[in-house]
Amino acid sequence: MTAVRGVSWALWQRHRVVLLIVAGVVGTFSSALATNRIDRIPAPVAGMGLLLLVFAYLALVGVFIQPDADVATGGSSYPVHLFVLPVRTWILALWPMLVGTAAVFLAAESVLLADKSSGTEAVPLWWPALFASALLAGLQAIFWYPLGIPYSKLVLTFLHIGGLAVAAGLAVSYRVGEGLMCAGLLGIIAVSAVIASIGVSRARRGDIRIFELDRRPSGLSLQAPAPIRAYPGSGPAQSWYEWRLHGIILPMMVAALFGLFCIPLTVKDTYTPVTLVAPLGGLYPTIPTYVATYLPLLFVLVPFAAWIVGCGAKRTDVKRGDHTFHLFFATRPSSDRTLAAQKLWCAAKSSAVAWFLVLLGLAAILAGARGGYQSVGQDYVAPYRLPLSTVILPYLDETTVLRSVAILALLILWTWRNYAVGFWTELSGSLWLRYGYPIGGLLVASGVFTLLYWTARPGESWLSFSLLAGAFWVCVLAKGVGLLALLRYQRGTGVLTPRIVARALASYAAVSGAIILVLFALTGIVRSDFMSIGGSPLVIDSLFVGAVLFWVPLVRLLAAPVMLHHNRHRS
Amino acid sequence: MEEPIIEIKGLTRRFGRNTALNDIDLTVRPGIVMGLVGENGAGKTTLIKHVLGLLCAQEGSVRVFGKDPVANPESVLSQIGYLSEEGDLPMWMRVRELIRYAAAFYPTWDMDYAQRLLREFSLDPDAKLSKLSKGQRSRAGLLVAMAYRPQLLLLDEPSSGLDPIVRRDILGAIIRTIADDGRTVLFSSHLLSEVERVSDRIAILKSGRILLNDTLENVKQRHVRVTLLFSAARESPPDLEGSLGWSGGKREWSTTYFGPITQLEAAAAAMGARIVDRHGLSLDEIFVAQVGAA
Amino acid sequence: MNIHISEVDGVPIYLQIVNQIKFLIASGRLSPTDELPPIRSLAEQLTVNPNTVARAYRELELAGVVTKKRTTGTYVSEGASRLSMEECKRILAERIDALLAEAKHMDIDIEDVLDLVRAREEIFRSEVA
Repeated sequence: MTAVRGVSWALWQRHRVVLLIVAGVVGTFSSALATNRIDRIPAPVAGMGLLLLVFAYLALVGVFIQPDADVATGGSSYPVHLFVLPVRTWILALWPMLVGTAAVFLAAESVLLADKSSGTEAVPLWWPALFASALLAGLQAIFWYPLGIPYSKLVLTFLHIGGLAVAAGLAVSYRVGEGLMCAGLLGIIAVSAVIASIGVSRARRGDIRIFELDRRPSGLSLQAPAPIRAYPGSGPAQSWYEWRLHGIILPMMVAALFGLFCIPLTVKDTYTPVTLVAPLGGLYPTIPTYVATYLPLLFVLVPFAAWIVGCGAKRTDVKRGDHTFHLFFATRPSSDRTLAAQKLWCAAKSSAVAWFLVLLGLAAILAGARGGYQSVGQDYVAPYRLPLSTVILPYLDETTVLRSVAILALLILWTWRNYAVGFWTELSGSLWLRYGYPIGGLLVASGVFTLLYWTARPGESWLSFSLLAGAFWVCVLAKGVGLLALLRYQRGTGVLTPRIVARALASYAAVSGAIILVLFALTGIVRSDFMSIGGSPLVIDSLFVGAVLFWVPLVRLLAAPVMLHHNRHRS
Repeated sequence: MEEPIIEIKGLTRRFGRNTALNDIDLTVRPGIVMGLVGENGAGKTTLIKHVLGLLCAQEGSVRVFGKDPVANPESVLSQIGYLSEEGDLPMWMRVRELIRYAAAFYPTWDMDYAQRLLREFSLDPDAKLSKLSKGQRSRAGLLVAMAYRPQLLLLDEPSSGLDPIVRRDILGAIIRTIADDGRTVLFSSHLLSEVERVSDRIAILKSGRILLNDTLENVKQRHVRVTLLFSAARESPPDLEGSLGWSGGKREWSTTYFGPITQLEAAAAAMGARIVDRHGLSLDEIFVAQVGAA
Repeated sequence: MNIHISEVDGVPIYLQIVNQIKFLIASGRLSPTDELPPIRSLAEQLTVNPNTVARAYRELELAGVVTKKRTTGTYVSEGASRLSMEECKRILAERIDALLAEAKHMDIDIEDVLDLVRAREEIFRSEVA
């Protein structure tokens, strides 16, 4: 079957390095598990290993989906250059799917078997591996089928991952037998295979219709075109450009997430009391359990989504092939600083709009969902017919409102931070930086935790506050060193003038100071909790200050115009 | 004497071990059309990127309008109209949006002129750039490069892969630019017939060096194809200084000669041959002879 | 104005323009006091460098074939037809020189050449009629 061999060889040739690295990671993890039980491996090492496994899985997904076009188009992502091979379409579609699912299954299975053989009892042997395979198969089907609707791939990916995860979670909690789960997963793989085959054959025939929102007939109209009004300046024009390029993505993702979140609200639910507020007349407000459990998770998902978008799930100005800038962008008559600043500003606007949408959704929930009251002694008092807004409103005193506003501001800042700190790698045009930075950062963090674990004195918790505080302050020191290195690197290019550096440092100090103030004002309770665990006030305070100084971004934001300059004038 | 629009001195650029540009000296005075010709990989695009400030000069200096394009992107690039063969326009924009966006960056933008060009090029303002044909996209790029009447029009193989009608539009743009007082054009092309029609000066680039940099008239006058008839048959080609490759055999030998005619006549007589045929060459033939020679 | 430029000719473009304008004048398709198109529009029409057209116009002015009036444009001179006739005779003389050189090379006598010319002219006349 030379056709099959040909397609396999093409796959191997293109992705040798990645596949070998993945095999190495899986092999190491499996052998480590085979020799030690999972609860005997120190937590940070296990955490780091799991993280690496997740990355390995993502790498395998990336290899086997073989995405050729960017996610936003409505067409098929199957690599077009394979269509000219004298190979039947169903082989083109099914062989990578077979190899992919088999590879993922084997990798996951080796980990599970290793775990079982080392003695862990309650490890399910088959369905997690099949779950990973079904996830991959579904993604392949989604990416290869030319649906024709822009951004549909993004939405379907969320639905697929979320749906499978929810289904698996429900199956586990309802104790569905493993045989049934495996059968269901195999069914999903089979359906994905069918969809993928149809999709690839449609893509190969060119039988694609991209749906456009405007239904104007193409061609010229007889009337004179409407006059084109100019922008008042280059700033608004560049703002518009950045917004259209990538600014709308985060709000769209957040809207989709929130939409998904609201679906289970229609199901009848139990209620939990909110004990974070002071009781009025001996009564706590109660809200649906689902909202109580998952709304905070949603709030945390928004910065995570911003991190994903910042890492590259968007249209960029960097060419895919050689990572230089598109000539259209590079020949703008604007300075490097202006161009970089516009990108960061657009990230801020995007974050703000995303959170505005979240607040809108929150208002909708407050108006739509129902709540009630519960007395401190836990017997129900009021029937649950009252809208949440009416229930919550009396409890909103000054401190609660202030705290909420402060937390909201922090969350928006966190979202913007995740979005903006990734820019410098993308602008640099270096492949190593672009992929090495997120992975390397996570590895370093895990390494730090491992170090902390191993240097902990016996009898003391390894997460000792003094060590943690020390770690944060070392990072702050690294920040300073990084700033000096950056200034030295760009010396002679004139991108970061002393005035700009001074202004950046002033903003950094102001933002850090504001956050520290808010933390100390708001978290009096939390501080006392920390102190009761074990730690002097000085250590706790230095921990907080160190954490804030480390968290507020400075060097990576300043690196953005420097990297832009480097890539723009070197390509 | 007016200040030159582009002044490049001693420019050298290496990519790893490959020397793309080797000690280039080039001056472009205002008001002329300079044609840059060379094989693929000769360094034309690299040179143009230096003018745009997209490459830093490793050795030597590049001055455009008297300024360094890397240090002053705003002032230099706002006076340069650039059209590249790749046509790196953002595919998601509509024509109208493209015009509106570009207009904001150039203080000399003339919106009436832009709308006239829109009609003249038959571009649908509400069409997405990804839906346009390659020729229409080139026209859109040309519109956006011309509408602010830049002091320097910089074209990097603008006609490659385009149909003759679009090529006429591009040539028309070059001519209109030069006809407006004081404006300059620098363009590189493989279509030497076009270069011949519109250029004032020619620079031939080979392997990162400038072989020839002269007015078109001089270049054409100094190249001649001659056939020499020898009194006695020869086995090997004759040795003539200024000749760029020989063809023929026995008594009749033909060559493309580069140099003064009087020198040729004297040398021919000294070798015992007389000139039996002599005619001028097109730029295409001159290029092949010059670049093909070792 | 119907002018055709060919760049593969080996003849400089400005010279082609000059010769063709002279030919148009000599054949009567351009009369004295007719206006020549402005440099810019002729350049756009032919897709050649305006400097080339300007040079052609200068050459024609130097030869006295056209006159340039400062504000209004370039016009065919009064005595242009005659001048152009002389120019055309010069071109013919060159062609005759080439013919004579070839005849000598082929060892054909001048009397035979003249007979040949007359014979060809008779055929030419009968074909045109």
